[in-house]
This record gives sequence, C-alpha cells and structure tokens, in this order.
Amino acid sequence: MISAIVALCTFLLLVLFVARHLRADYSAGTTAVIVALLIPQVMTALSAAVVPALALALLLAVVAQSAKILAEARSARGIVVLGISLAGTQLATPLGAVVAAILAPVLALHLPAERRARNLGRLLLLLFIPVVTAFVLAYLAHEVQFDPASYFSGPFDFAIRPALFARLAPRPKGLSEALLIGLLAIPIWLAVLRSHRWTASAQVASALIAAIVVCALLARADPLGTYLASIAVLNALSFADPSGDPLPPAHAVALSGLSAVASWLFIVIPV
Amino acid sequence: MYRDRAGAEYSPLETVYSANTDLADFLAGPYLPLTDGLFLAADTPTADRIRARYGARARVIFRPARLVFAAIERRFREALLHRAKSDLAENEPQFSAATVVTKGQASVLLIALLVLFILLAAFPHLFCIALAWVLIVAFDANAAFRAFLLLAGDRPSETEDAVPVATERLPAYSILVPLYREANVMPALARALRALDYPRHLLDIKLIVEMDDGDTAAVADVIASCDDIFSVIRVPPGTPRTKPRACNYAMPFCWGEFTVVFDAEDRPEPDQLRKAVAKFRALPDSVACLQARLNFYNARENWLTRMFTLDYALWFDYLLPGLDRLNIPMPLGGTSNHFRTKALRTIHGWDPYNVTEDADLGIRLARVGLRVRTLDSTTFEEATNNFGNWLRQRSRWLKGYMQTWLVHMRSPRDLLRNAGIGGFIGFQLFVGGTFLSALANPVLWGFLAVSKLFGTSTGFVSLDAATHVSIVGLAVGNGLFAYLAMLGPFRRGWLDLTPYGLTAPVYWLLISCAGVRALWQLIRRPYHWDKTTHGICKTGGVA
Repeated sequence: MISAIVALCTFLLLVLFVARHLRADYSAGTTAVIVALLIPQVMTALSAAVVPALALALLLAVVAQSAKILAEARSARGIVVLGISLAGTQLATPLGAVVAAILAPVLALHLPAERRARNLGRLLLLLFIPVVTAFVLAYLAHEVQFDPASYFSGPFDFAIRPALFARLAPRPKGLSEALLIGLLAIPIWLAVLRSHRWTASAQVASALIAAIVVCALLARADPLGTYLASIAVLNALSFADPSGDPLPPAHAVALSGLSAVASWLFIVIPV
Repeated sequence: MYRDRAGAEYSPLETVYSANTDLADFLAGPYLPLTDGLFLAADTPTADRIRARYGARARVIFRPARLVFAAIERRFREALLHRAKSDLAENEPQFSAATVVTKGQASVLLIALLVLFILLAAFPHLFCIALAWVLIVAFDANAAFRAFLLLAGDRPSETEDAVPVATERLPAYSILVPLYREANVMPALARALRALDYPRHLLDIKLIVEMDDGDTAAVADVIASCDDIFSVIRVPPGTPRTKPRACNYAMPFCWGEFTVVFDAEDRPEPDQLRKAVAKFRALPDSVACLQARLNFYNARENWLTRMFTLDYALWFDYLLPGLDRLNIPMPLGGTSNHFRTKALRTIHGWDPYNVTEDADLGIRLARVGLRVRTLDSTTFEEATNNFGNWLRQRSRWLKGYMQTWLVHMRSPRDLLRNAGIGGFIGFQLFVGGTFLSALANPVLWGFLAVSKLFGTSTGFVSLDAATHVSIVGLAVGNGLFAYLAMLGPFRRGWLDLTPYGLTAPVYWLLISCAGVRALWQLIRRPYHWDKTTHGICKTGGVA
C-alpha cells in the first residue's frame, strides 16, 4: 500500500515538473535531463517518508501563501508570529539554524536601490527571531550544555536526534556543513535574484521553513533526506518559474547536476 | 477709544475695568464689564446673558472674540499667571510635581539604599547576582511589554472609519502653539496651519510666545496681522519657564469646543482636525483626548534621525494603539493631543512643573475616569539631527517620566484603585520601565565589561553568575528592542529603515546616557526645561 502511494506521489511530482518545465519553454530533452537528475534526490525522501512528503507539500503552499498575504497586508503581528514559529522549530530541531545559512545570500540581492533596501528589510524582519534564537541556543549549548530540543522529543526521535545533532550541532564543523546545505540552494537564490520580487523570497523562505517544520514534527524518517529533497524540488521549480525569466536550459541542467552531486556528497561524507 | 451703538466714546479698556470681577465667567462669555454698566462682548447671546445677569439697562459694545480675550488678558494678567502656575498645585496637590519627592518616598528610598549597602557589604556575591537579576527583569520586562503592546496595537481601531462630520456642523477648534526662540521655523508653521482643511472662521489659533522673546513675538505679530485665524498671546516672565505653563496661560482664551496642541515645527496632515471631530463624535464624552500619530519629515537625514524615526514609529504606530486597545493609561506624546476643551479645564490643565506634562496629563485623565484614544492621522515633525540636541531632548523626556512616576506613585493604592490592576501594571512597565531600562542597561553592560577586563573573580566578589545572567538578559532585551525597532516602520512601509533597527543596542546606550543625565537633573534642576532647537534639519520634505 505504502509503495503504491510512494509511486503515485512520485509520478504526480514528475508530471508537475515536466509540465512546468515545458511551460517554461524548455525542450523535451532538457526537461528529461533535469527530471532525471531530480528523481534520485526526491526519491530519497519519498521512499523514506510518505507522510512528511505530503505534509511538506501542504505546508509549502499554506506558509508561502500566508507569508505573501502578511507582506501585502503590512501585518507586523503576522511577521512576528511567523518569526516566532520559525524560532520554535529550532527548539525542536537544530536544523532550524540552517535557515539562516540558506537565506543569508539572499540578503545580498543585487536589486535597484530602493527595492533592494525594502527586500532587505522584509527579510531581516522574517529572519531576525530565528537567527537570534539560533545564537542564544548555540550560546546555551556551548556554555551550559543545554539542549532544549531534548525536552521536545517525540517518541520516535531518540534514534534520529543524536545523529542529527551530532551532524548539525553549532560547532565549527556543524556550521560548515550547514553552510554546505545552504550552497545546495544556489538555484533558489538565483531565481530570487532574477525575479526581483518579494513574493519569491517569501515563498522560498517559507518552503525551506516548512521543510524544517516537517522534519521536526514528523521526524520518523530521515529528516536530512526530506530536507535535501525539498531543496531539490525547489531548485527545479525555481529555475523554471514561468512568472519570471526561466534560466537558460544549459544553466538549468548544470545546476541540477551540481545539486544532485552536492546532495549525494552531503549524504556520503562522514561526520 | 471704544464706541457703543449710540456713538458714545469710552476710554481705553485697561483703565476702566470694574474692580470686582469674576474671571471664569468673563472667559466663558467672553465678555468684560467696563464702567457705568457698559460691557464688552463678542456676540448677541453673550449680550443677552449679560442683560439677564446685570439688568436690562446694561449696554454692550460688540467686538470680535479675540479682542475681548485680549482685553481680559491685559486686565487679569497677574491672576492668569498665578492660575497657570498654581491651578493644579492648589486644587489637586497630589498630582503636582512641584514637590519632586514626598517625605514618605524619600524615607523609602533611603531605607532601600541602606539595605542595599548592607547587603553589598555582607554578601557581595549574592548581591551582584541579585542585582543582575533585578535589572535584567526590569530591562526585559519593559521590552517584553512593548512586544506585547505591539501585538495588541497591530489592529485597526474600531472607530478609524468614523463618519466624517459635515462642514456646516463642524465646531470651533482651538490650536495652541507654544513658541520659544522659534522665529526661524514660524513661516513654515504658519503655512502648515493654513493648510489645515477646516473652515477658517472656526479656527482659533493661539501663537503663545514668551514676553521677553522679542524675535519670536515679532514674527508672530506679523503672521497674526496678515491672517485673522491667528492671535498672539504673550506670557509674562516667570518660573517655571516651561511649555505647560505657557499652555495653561493661554488655555482660558480658547473658545473652541476642542483644543489641540502643536509644536513649532509641526506639519499636521491637513484633514487631522476633521478626523478628530469625527472620532470624538463617534465616541462617548468620557473620551477626553485623542492622540494623533507623530513621525518625522527628515527621517533619512542621518543615522540618528533614522533611529529616532524607528523609535517614534514604534511608539505612535504600535505601542500607543496597544495601550489604547488594552485600556491602559496612556502617556500623551508632546504634540497633536486633541482635547475636549471642557475636560481639559476640568482637570486644571497641564502641570507646569512636569517637563513631560503631556505624559502626566494622559495618566491624570485616566485616573479621573476619562479616556485617551489614538487618532489615525500623522503630524510630521523635525527629528533632531545632532547628538547634543538629541541628548537634551531625551534627557528631558526621561526626567519627565521620572517625575510622572514619582507623582503617581505617591499613593500606589490610589493609583491601583483609579487605574485597575491592568492599568497599574501597565503604568509600571511603560512609564517606570522606560526610564528604569535606560538606567539598568549600562549596569548590565558594566558587569560584562568588568568581567572581561578583570576576570569574573576578583578578591572582593565573583561576577561569574552575574555575568551569565547579564549576557542572556542583554541578549534577550536588546534583541527584543532591536526587533521592535525594526518592526516600527512596517505599518508605513518604510522598510528601507528596518535594517537600522539592528543598531538599536547602540541607540539604547545613548538613551542610557540620557537616562543618567536625566537622573542627575532630577536631583539638581527638576523643573529645568532643556530647550530643543528646531529648524536645523537639512531636509524638509515629508517622508
């Protein structure tokens, strides 16, 4: 039964990607190569956890849309709530710190002066609470060996959390690995940079955040796998964004390949 | 010389007033008795009232209200001056800052200091930890309360869309503009006030100048001579030389149903008075005051003006609306306070001894059962663009908050009874917390600095635990303050200012400098009004 659902989900995702890439005027060959590079990454997650993958899809849509509405409605309350929820995820998983590493390059967007300043303001507002929380948690972990995540463990977390924390704990090596994860999202940053739109930034941020929420709340499967898969999916969606300027096909293929290789390296590199 | 309707001439007014007079009654008219049953009055209804009171044979000379008021002012100058200075102190002494610290408060303070000294000598280690905790709680509680207010204030008021009042039903509106050494900004002020979208015959604008400030008075005279919506009131010299004293002196002459205070450099949005009338009409009479939003037209001039803008945007766009929504006593902000004139008179106007008389007035209104609400209209001001000017202004504000806290904490039980438990706690956190945070901040940084420079263990005391407490507390408090500053401009969409909020901890250190200066001044010169210089900004466009 589960295998059937996995197969169905994978098939639906592939249909979605193919349709989107074709709509972005990529040739059938280019689309096939991109999807082929994408499949191993997506399967890493889907084969391990169907429920997280479905929840991820739902959260991607809901959080991205709410972030967009918040930005348009100028609701400070909404921004605060979003920031607090992001910080809250860090209490459940150290992966929350990765958000900062992934989105930091976005802050250096090369946009026209006024727009750049405004986007920077929005992103800072969104990231401030999670980043400060990460610093405080890092300080607590370093100074008093306090790991709040351990107090929020679910019944199935005991097998995952030690390895995860060892891999991404706020130590020099852990932080460099977090940065490596951030580098995997280069296509996303490029898409944001090219789109010149706040909504793109919000969607990317929300999507990554949603992935972490899923990891934290439904961490029965390999959270890293889910996380990497979400980046891969977003990469593919990003450079085929029909509302912006799709990446040139050669660049898209190259970036897909890089993303796949980097994901693989990340998984196989020992701690 | 004056002539009555029959053509008879009378002497200049100041030489012929009757000796036994009733100032309040005259001002309510306005009218003024002259000799031999002759009266000066502004309109027919007043003349009817005069005849009803003094007999049908009373004769009346009609003059515009501003001339009648001017005559009353000349005649009753000494009485008005006394009233401006002492009305509150004589009628509600418990609310007057004329006494800085009562004997009871002084005793409590001395005992507390003595206990602290003994604790420091006997248990230095515990004392440092306890002190760090107390200061952190004060610092972070203030920050947390502001965050709470921001969330509460981030909602549109239920009366923001009040039905506009038809022009023919608009009431008279008095505008008080206290001026001292402001000659250079007055032309711009006159332009801004003339731009108000309000019937001219209903505008009663009082340019209040100090009698010995010749330059400002000269410009005011020119403005008033060109446009009869303006009138000039000269306040005789005296102490304390403060803005509230000047406003008190002028208040009896206001003939508007509503009264608003603007500063010399203010540029209110043209529809502000209409919005205020509409909102007053939509609210019960217990709402005595509406506080408009304040912001700056030179926000982007330099780092200081940007930080000041973040500060103001947070305060007026979020924190005060939060207080409004939670029904917590609201300290008014220095300008654009719209009052029901009658209510203002009932509570004896402003406290001339309080250097943040507006903040005190907001609390007093709440204590007598009246409410202050916010008004969704902005007055743009000039953000001070140099540190010296900023320090003087901020020191005065913090000193005024200390005065206000001391006044209303003379009897905590009464405050609790008047304001309720929520209002009491809100007052402690918002008014007390503001200056206490400014004073606590450098002490906490001091723990860090000492431990870094000399180590956490000295021969006298170990600062290890206190340092840890300080680090976490400062991180949380400064983090919150920075984030709140970043959120401040969100409502206006001025997100290019948001990144500057990251430097809020530096700004808070400057506020701490002002806090220390304020405390020193409270001890040495409690009523001294540190004048803020206006008209020095390099940019004048509305943001």
